[in-house]
Amino acid sequence: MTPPPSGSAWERLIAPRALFAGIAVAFVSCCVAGHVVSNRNLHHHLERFFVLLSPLDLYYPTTSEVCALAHQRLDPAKYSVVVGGSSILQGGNQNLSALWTRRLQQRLGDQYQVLNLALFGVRGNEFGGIAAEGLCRDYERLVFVADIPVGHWWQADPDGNVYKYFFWDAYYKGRLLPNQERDRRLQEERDEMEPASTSTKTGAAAPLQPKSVRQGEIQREMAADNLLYFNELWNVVTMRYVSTVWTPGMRCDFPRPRARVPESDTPPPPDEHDYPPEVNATYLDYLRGTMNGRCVRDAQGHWVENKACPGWAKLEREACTCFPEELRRRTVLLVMWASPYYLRQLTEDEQACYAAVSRLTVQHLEAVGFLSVEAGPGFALEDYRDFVHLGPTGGARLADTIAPRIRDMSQRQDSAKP
Amino acid sequence: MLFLTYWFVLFAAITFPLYWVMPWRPVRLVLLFLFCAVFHTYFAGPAGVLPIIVLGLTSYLIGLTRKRPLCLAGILLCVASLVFYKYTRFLCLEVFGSIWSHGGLESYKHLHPLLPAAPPLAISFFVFEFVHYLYEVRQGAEPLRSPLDFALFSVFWPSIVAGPVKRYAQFVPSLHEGSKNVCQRDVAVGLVLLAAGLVKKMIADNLTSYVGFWSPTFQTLPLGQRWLLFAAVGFRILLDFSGYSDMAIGFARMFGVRLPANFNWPYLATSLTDFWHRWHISLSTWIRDYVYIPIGGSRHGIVRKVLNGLIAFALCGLWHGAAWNFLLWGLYHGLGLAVCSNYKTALGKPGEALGRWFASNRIVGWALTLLFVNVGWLLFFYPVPSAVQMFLGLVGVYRP
Repeated sequence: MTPPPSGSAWERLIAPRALFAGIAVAFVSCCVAGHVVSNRNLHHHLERFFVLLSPLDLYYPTTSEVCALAHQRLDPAKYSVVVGGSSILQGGNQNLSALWTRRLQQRLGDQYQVLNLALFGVRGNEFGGIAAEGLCRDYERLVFVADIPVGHWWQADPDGNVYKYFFWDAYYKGRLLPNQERDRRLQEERDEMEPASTSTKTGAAAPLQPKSVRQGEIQREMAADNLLYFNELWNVVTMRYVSTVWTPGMRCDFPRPRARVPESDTPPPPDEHDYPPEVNATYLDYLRGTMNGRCVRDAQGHWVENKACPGWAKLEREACTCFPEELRRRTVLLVMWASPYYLRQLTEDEQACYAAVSRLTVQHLEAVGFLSVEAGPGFALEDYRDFVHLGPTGGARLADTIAPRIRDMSQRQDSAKP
Repeated sequence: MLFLTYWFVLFAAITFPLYWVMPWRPVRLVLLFLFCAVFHTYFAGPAGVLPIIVLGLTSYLIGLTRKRPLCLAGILLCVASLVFYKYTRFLCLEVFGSIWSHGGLESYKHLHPLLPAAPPLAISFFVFEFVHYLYEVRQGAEPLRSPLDFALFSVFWPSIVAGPVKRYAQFVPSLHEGSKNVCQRDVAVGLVLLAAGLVKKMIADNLTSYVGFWSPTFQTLPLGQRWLLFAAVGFRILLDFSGYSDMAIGFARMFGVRLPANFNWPYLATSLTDFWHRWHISLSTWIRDYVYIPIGGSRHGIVRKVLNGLIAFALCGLWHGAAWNFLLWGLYHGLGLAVCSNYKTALGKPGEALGRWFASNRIVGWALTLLFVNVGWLLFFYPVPSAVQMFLGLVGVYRP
């Protein structure tokens, strides 16, 4: 490099070597700081990852952060119950006082510790399940709880749907359990085509591109984060010091640190239900779709499994792809029924078919190693707030339903020990 | 935002050191071209690269002949490509369709299969630079003989996506100078510009979220917050665009190449004429040199001057996007500029007095300019009916 030419006044003020040294020192310091804080718990009073602590509000918890939370909360000497799954288990329609996981904790007693890692839009084993995989090595007495709908697995890629970043974060940080089926699917998926995310103003369909293009960007981010710990550092800054991103959830509090904006405990109005008439037909079609071809009538007129239906084999295959065998043995998988508001609109025959599909879902999940429980038979209309979400009474009923099964699984784990 | 992808970070982390450590200047330029080709191919895809190769090759070869009719044909080809890729849908469905809906739809149905799903990446910038090149050669300027120089002028990656729109007479000497004498100060200055651009972009992204969240409920907001949102819209576009430009100029500088500044504190302008000397300078000077002046500029009386200004600004608006609101935004500025630059002569003595008053009360001129420009951003961002409703909401006269 040759001597500098003259430039504008501000350019002449810059001392290049000092600047380079400053950048290098600052960069390394940030990486070290990120590494140091990555194992510290940021969520001392967290009951659940509510909206402000979720990607819905542009906050992306890292696997290190979630594991640090678990390590602080869960005592390896006790039974650990990690609740994953979707917004149904997150308790989205329950205020903190009426949160179903609090009730579950009460029902299980002091020998158990419940940690709610469920999140909005989670499918399969995303987020909470990935965290549970990482915790399996440290916690022998761990039970994982997740949910799926009746009859089929959520349509999701093997690395997840909304929370792919979390999967790849765990992948590069070595927190995943071995799962050959998942590895095979990931390999296959690299060559599958999907619409490119490039938005167009022409109204035309987006061009197709291999999934590896989009996946590649997430993978590069997480591989880099594994070395540099920038996500960890950024989360500490935004949790403890200052929010740097304006979001709808933080609109009244920006730029306060997120840790100073706790979840409010306002109970929802007792009779607040959400059954919009404009989507009624769509939901009924969806319910009928879940039953489609999965059952046939036997000679006595009862609904029984349709052995020719490929959906059942697919359910088992998808379940094995998303859950490694070790985690399947520790998982209570809830088959969540839709609200009676919709089920009662089906004919009696359809309702019987729905119940049969639900029972068969449980059987197929148990065949691949889960402990599966139906959640919905016996629930009342008041237990639901909308199509699938439970209100406070529903949450309590859910806790009552699964507490004994969690105890069963814990005992099964204990008896399986050499 | 291509500069904020991890692929790009990796790309930059590899390419810059390779460029700096390469001791031979010609190899440095070849390397730089390879980097540009990789960048463009990755982000545009093969379908997006092909039209640019064809247009670039054609422009280069035509330039070598220096024949005026061929240069004109080359210019027309470039413009036709831009119109085809970017404006076919708008012209068929919106313009032609508004006169004869069936004809518009049918013509679009016939042309649609020929169109890619999205226009080739940065085709507007490519076409403007090729047109500039061919126009200058047609006017007698020396063409670029070296294919490498021309290729680098065409696909220099820092300026591909959002400019600045380059001029080859300025760019090529700077490229050679940079490849020969890139120094620590260039890198340091580039990094500072890059940091400034990133900070602007971060603020702009926050403003984007803010504007996006509150805009749908604009009419229900208190008056003060409406004005806050109105200001946020203006700052969002300035910071977003000038942040991106800063990054582009910074990256170029890290190669030792000096690109022209694109923004010069535009919101401090004290008149609309002043604003257009400070806002997206490379585009406004391009429009002036290659549209406004060739169609007559201010040479044929005040009526033609105003008309030429309106045509130039209408095209400037359409360049930003194929939709009516962009066209109206351009015409709005064309009209504003016509008033601003002609009121003194048109109004006679009162006009001159007004001009003197504005000159001595510059803050009033600044406030009026800022208000005018920001109202324009409503047209730029929102469909026309929404923009009008928002404007009425600002002065408190909107009734839903």
